[in-house]
Amino acid sequence: MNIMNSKTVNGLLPALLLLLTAALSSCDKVPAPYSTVASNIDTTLYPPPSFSINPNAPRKVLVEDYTGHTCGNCPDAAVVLKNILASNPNVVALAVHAGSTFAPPQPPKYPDDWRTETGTAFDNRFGVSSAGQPNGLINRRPVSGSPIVFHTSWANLVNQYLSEDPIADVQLAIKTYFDPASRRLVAYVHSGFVETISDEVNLGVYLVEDSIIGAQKWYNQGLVDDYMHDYVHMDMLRQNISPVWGVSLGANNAAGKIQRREWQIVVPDGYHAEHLKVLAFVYKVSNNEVIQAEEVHIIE
Amino acid sequence: MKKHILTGLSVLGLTTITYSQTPKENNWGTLTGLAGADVQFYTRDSIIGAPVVPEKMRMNAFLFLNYRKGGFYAGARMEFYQPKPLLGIDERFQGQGIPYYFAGYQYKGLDITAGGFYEQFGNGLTLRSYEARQLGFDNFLQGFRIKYNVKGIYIKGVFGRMRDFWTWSRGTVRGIDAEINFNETVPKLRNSKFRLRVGGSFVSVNRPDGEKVIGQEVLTLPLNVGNAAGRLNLGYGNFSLSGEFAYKFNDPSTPNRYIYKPGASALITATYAATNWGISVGAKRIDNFDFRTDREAVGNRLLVNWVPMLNKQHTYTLAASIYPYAVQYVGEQGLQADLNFTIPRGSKLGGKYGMDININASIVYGLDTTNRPSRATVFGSDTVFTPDRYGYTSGAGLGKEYYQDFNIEITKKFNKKWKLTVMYMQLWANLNVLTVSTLGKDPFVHAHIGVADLTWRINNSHSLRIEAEGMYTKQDQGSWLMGLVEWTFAPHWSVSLMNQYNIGHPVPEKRLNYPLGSVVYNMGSHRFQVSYGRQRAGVLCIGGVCRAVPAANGLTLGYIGSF
Repeated sequence: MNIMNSKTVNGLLPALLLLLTAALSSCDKVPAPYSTVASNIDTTLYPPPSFSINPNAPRKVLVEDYTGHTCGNCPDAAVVLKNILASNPNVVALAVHAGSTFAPPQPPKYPDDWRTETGTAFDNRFGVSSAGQPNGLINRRPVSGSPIVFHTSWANLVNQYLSEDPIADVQLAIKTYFDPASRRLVAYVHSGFVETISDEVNLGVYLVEDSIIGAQKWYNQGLVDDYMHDYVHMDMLRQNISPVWGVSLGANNAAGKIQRREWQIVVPDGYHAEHLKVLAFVYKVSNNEVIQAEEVHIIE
Repeated sequence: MKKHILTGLSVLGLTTITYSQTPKENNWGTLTGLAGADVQFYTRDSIIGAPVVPEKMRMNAFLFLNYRKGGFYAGARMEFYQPKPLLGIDERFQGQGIPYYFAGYQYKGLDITAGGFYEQFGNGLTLRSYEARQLGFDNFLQGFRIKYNVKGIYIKGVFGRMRDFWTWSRGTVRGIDAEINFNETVPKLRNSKFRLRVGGSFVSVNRPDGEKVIGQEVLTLPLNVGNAAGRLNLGYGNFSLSGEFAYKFNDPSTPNRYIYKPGASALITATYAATNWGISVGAKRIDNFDFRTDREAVGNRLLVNWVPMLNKQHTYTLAASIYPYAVQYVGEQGLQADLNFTIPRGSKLGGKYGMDININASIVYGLDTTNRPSRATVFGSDTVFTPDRYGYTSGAGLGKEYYQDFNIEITKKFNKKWKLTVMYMQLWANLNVLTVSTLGKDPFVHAHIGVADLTWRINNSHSLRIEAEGMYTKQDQGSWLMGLVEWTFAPHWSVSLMNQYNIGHPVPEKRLNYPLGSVVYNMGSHRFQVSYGRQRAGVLCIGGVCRAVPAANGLTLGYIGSF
């Protein structure tokens, strides 16, 4: 390329290189994790509630419904769950959208992805979706060897567990503060041991949303393509607040012992505060059995 | 024919606004100008959802003057938006003044500009400053620019702050672009069928904020954000291939929800143009590529770069202004194929004048992204969960579907008097993504659009144009009909009457008519227009950048002219 002999170009290229070097250096790379998380909960703004053990605190049963928006039989299970909730105040419901068959988005009709890291972890541990959906877990307690229970048995099991011992072994109390401007959610969870529990127990805390409008397949409803575009999803697991498997409350908790745990998160945009609930449960680490559950709306 | 192929190509090309007038060089130099004014009177019309305008009457006007003598040039633009800008234009334009002014000098291959300037590097992935008046979009840079070219080597350097309505961006843009056209540089290639151009650009934006507090998190912000791109244009005979790849360093911002993942974009287009037909096929993938002079800016404000659209820019009313596609800078991937052919003159179908056919199809998907698990910070028993600030990882698969367009347009001139264009279009739009659209109950719209456009040239001075359009859809606002009759009495007058009818609105009371009558008077390069009627709420897009058009009812006066 004989142009390189040209004086103008010879003068130009070093200048260009210089400019490029200067330009490339004007770029900053921030190392991970990119941010620092500031201070603890501001207890003047969000004072922790007082708590004392109620020896007659009712036992509450956790019903988990493993579902998916393209699972045409799943709304039938949701109806069962709705009826259980309507007839019994001591039931806490959690709808887990999980599994690789019915939960992944299938645009254009089912564009949403309601799966969560937590829900997938739960589903993997208990193998619910691979056993077919709808299916559920009642207190994660095994019934003839497996904790997976078809929805037709849910109501009976709930009644059985509640009548076995209507008084809680551990009482849970949740107090939340929500600041709509910053979307900060502060949750205090008290665990009061009514009975002595020698097993190690974990406390898991999760964010649950009601009344999410989205697509759902529903068989036998006379719908075109069994397609409902404005189905109302209730009790949907949105994210974990504690780590996925909770935090340890330790072993050998004597009756009368009180423990407090607190969390604060920024509620993601797009979650509707008026439909959000904080759900907590305590389970035995050895066999995963849930011994108590509780939930509150973040806005009373 | 050629024009059609070029339209397809312009996806990756430059859009230039030329202020046309033959310069008359004399001792005093040449002064050219462009002026425009739009005055709108607003009448209350609550049924169409027209906002109440307490000022009743608003005006947008501008005058652009450009002076040149020898190598020296200078210019300025006066703008006026009072008492407020026309509905639909960002109200922050309210005011009057001379925001844009510049002076410069050209000597051989050197060109130096001080003041305001418009510039584009490559396809615009790193930098594009331009004005789109109808959008209320103007992001010229105010500072210095140097351009130099010698023997097929083109170098540009820019340094400036960006227009932010009536002030300047807090951030500063520094950029450099270089391109080598080997057909000019290498003497052997001068007349070769083989064509090669290679270019690269780097743009860095300096933004003065070091920290950002989100909830309990304090983010460390990059003060300087870099965006680099390389591009290649290859051609051989009728075939050409062009591509550009760009990489943006960590750029946490409001549009990307403050993530630090680097951005990456790729565009590629292949074109073949023969005598009677041409085809252009393009693909793009845009990942986290919203790049602004201010990280808090949203909407169309303070954009440094531009992501080319890979869809046909429709011009027929129903096709262009109800569900057009707005390019998603935060992430999308798409394909387009555009085929043109002319059935030759003299053939059975072609007749005396031939017949032009354009077939165009495009599809856009979101990216297949996986959010990273949230980050847990433990304070005693209090664990704080914050988003992983890297953001997400994007896979090679498809995300949600955003848009689909298939259309075919046939133009046939039957004889000296009659010419007909027909178009059929089928579109699928995800209104959850195209949020500038009027979001109805159903976010997924599938529509069929048909257009017939007939011109009857009655004699040398009179012609009549009739346009009929229909859009059929079950979703959102339902189906529309549109009709237009336009009578042109050359050289001065044109009178038209148009009506749009929302025949299929799900709410019977909203099945409204939107009649609009216009009279246009042309005088040389000056055009006056008076319109009266209803303006339907919709969307206006230019090059994939969109704004909402609010409903309005009333009288509009318009002038545009150049000298």
